[in-house]
Amino acid sequence: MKKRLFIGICLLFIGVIQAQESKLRLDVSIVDQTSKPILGVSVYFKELKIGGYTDENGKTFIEAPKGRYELIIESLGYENLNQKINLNQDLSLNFTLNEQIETLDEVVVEGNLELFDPQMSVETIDYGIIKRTPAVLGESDLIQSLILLPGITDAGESTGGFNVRGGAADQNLILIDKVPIFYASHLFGLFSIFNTEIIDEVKLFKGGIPANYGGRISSVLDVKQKSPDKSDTRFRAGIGILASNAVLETPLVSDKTSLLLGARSSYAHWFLPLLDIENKAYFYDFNAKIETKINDNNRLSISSYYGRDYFNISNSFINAYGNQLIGLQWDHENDKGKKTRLNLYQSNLYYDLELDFVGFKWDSGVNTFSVQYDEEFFLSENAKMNIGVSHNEYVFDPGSIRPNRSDSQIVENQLAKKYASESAAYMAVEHTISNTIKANYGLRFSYFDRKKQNAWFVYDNDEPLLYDSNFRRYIEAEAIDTLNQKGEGSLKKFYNLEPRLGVSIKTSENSSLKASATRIVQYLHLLSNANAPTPLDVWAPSGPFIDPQIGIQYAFGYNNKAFKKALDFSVETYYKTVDNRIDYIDGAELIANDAVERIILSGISRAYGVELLLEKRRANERFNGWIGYTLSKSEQLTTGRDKGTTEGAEIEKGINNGEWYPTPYDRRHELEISGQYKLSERINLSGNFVLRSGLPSNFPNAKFSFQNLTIPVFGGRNQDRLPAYHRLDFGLELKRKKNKNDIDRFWRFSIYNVYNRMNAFSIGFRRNVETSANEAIQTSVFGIIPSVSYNISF
Amino acid sequence: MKSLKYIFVLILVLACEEVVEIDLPNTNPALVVDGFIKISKDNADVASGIILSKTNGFYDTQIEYVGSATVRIVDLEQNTSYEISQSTTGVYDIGFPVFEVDKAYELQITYQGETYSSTSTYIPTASIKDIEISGESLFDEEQTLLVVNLTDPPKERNFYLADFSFGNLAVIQDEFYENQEVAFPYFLEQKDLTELEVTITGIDRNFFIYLTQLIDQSSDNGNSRGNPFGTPPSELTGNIRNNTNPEQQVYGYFSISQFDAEIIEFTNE
Repeated sequence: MKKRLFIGICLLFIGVIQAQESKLRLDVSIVDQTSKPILGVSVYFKELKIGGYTDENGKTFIEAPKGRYELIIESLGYENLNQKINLNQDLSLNFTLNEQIETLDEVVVEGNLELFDPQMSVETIDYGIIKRTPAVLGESDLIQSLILLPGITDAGESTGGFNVRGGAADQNLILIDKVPIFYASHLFGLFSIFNTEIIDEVKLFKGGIPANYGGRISSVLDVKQKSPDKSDTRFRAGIGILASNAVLETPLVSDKTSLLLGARSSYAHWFLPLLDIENKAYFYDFNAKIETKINDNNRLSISSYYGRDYFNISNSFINAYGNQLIGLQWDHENDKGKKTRLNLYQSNLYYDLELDFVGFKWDSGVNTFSVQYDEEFFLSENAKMNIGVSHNEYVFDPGSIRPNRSDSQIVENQLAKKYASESAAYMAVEHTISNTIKANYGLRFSYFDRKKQNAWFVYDNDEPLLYDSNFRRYIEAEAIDTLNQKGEGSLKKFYNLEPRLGVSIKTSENSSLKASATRIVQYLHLLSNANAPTPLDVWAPSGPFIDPQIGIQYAFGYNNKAFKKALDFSVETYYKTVDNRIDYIDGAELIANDAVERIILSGISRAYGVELLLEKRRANERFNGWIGYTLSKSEQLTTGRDKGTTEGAEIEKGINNGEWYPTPYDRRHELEISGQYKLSERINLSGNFVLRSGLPSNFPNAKFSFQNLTIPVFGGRNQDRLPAYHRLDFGLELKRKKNKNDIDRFWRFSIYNVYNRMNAFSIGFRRNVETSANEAIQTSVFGIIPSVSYNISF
Repeated sequence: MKSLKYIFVLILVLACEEVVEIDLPNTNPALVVDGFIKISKDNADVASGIILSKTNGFYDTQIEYVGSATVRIVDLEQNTSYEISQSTTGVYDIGFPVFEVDKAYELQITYQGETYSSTSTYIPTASIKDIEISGESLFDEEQTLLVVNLTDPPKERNFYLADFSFGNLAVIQDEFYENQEVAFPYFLEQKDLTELEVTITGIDRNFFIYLTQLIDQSSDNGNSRGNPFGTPPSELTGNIRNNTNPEQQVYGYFSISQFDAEIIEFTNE
């Protein structure tokens, strides 16, 4: 199958390169009233129905035979333009679009051309929607908004991370301005690290991931920070009950260089000392972006992010963690519309824990340095090509332990750092094959080099994990030798071809069928023994004992503009498998473990499902919203290893006795309804309703007593379920009249979990200290939470 | 900017816990062997017994002891066998041989026509040097921080079980400690104590792993399984084998271990 897919792609590449009759070219450049380029403007000739969308520089072009045409320029939030064009020579035209009143900050993607785009399984969500979606504590949050869409869930309220189509949280590639980050939550998962005020555009690929993305199997969350305004100073600020934020956009050199600064901080800890509480818990983050237009063809930008969480409990338990990143991007566009992009970035995840009563300090982290080069050009009027190369250098610091005071008995110990590099080359083509068929196909070649390190353990027969068939249990092997070989070459190298294919077939003016098949290789594994990601989780690169995860996804979809084009309806079904998905033997201890190969088993996982989405997302309409339903399954199989041993030898039991078991984030049903209604010029209403199957859990089927302790006995893994999760939220936005300083002012009120449903976060089992009887205890995180925030913008 | 108004609504976000009724299945009862024989460092005659019981439903309040089994201890070096008899139903503690350090012994159990066995060597312990009572508390005022200082034998890695009474168990390994000094901190939740017995028992690496899982999984002292940040529950496979029917699950562990004990006294401030 893989081979056939590959040959098919090669054939398609050949098909693209064909003779062309001579065409004339119209270059179009579009800006708004403030001379800021507008992204995503639809530009086409009415007669030929050919055209394109503007890029970040507000540019696009059309190639057409000589003739007279009517040029249509459409963009949501702007007034449309029609212009008669006499194309008798190559032309270059500039247009200024007037902003439509009423749509201040909303860019809603209209599905007209999208309907026939071969790219499927993409969710876009914009600032306006995120901002108005009622959220916990009124702190609007990108991830909380995303999980209202079909196929995207979380592993329990406020656990951080998200799961796409039954995939694990570590299988999401999260990018801020093309720079990947490793842990995307504040307050252990209560909020994501994205300051809503700096978000320009968000795309989440749930499937059909194009060849220019790689390294994570499940999804790509591509977050673009706002381009700072080049002509006017703009300021936005908001004060909420948990955190406040402020964003400044200002030109440094008019029409040439501009700066964006964003800051956000929680402040509940300021009040804790007033209540005589010594403990501290807070987070903050900063975003900065400088963009400069060198000339019409060259643009340079520097983006950076710095975020930290800090917890301090009586100075005995001190914990700080966060991400920092900086990226440099150079964009070049030549007169023929060829776009090149060069990125350099550095990204760092940091984790620090100090336990004063034990007398130690613990530091760990991940460092990434990367270079990317990307080119986009037209092979013909029907085919756009994207090629590129990238190289990443990783340093994984699993942790160092140090005494934190002079009288500590702790021995200083640095767990061996791990080193790896990941390189890739890709090409992808967007090809209009006929009036009804479009395809995007591509191939990515990836190469991973796990380098030699210090303190590398060598095992008898290369077996770090032994099996004791007498007691049917796994036993960690002891190393027979330890090698210190940092800088002496590779431990293991991996090469992989990753074909990607997407096709759309126009079945009528209002409907299309889409299909995609992708193979993606993930060389990094998140070692997390918990069901939800935590910042303490350790990333492990593939190597001699851990093979890369290989994900294959097939998806099929149907899109339709229903009810006289008033609504968009889509149904998508998918099937995906992941090879070499690791799980842990019973009782595996991951923290400060220098030899994770001794506690893991490799298995396979699979997920499949159907997603239905009926949505209405149109600018300038009073009501926008959607209803989504997902039926899905996600499970893992971790059988015992087959060593081809002689007969009579007992088969290893694996995990869950070698039978399929649900993943911790498996959800059968998911129903989400979200809507926003503009009651008047100044009043916006919004609401969500969510109903999801409970997450897998483990309930005891017996108990025993050992040393006077009561020990519950659990059956197979993840065989039980928490009760169903549901809740209703309301939001209200009141816009005040502009005052004489022309400042927009908003009140945002919200009620999260209106009917105060106590949703089970977990169910535990314990012996009641007073009655000595055993009982089941349900923990719920959020009951009803009203909140308010005040926002200004000018 | 003058019109900026500050409004704070302080909401106390507290995770809410409530007792819920969950119907739980009750699987076929299996044999449980609490074969942790602890011998005092000061007086080799003082030894705890082997307790046999059966698993039952999670909500059952009684322990079903097994009084109808035959229990033997075999000295594998001299190949002599000792039958152990019960002092009370299910507690087999009469007739132990004098255990010698680092020597191997086998436990043999016959129950309802099936035989079970396990082996262990007699594991020595470290001595308690002293126990410091510190005023520090972490999350609430009711806790007392105890620091147990041990004189650790100069072997590469040693493992211990610390027992602070009232079901407060903790496992210790000397990996991160220098020389022969182990300073082990423990937050004790019990209040209004006048005295407390602390014991330190020598265990091996496999028993250490088992006890780590066991303590993590136990439902005592406010522990409750089901925390999404916690580890998934494990099957708790011990070192006892059903020889007649190896597929049949048997719970518990067999270990012959030496312990050192100290009683600390609390002065009321």
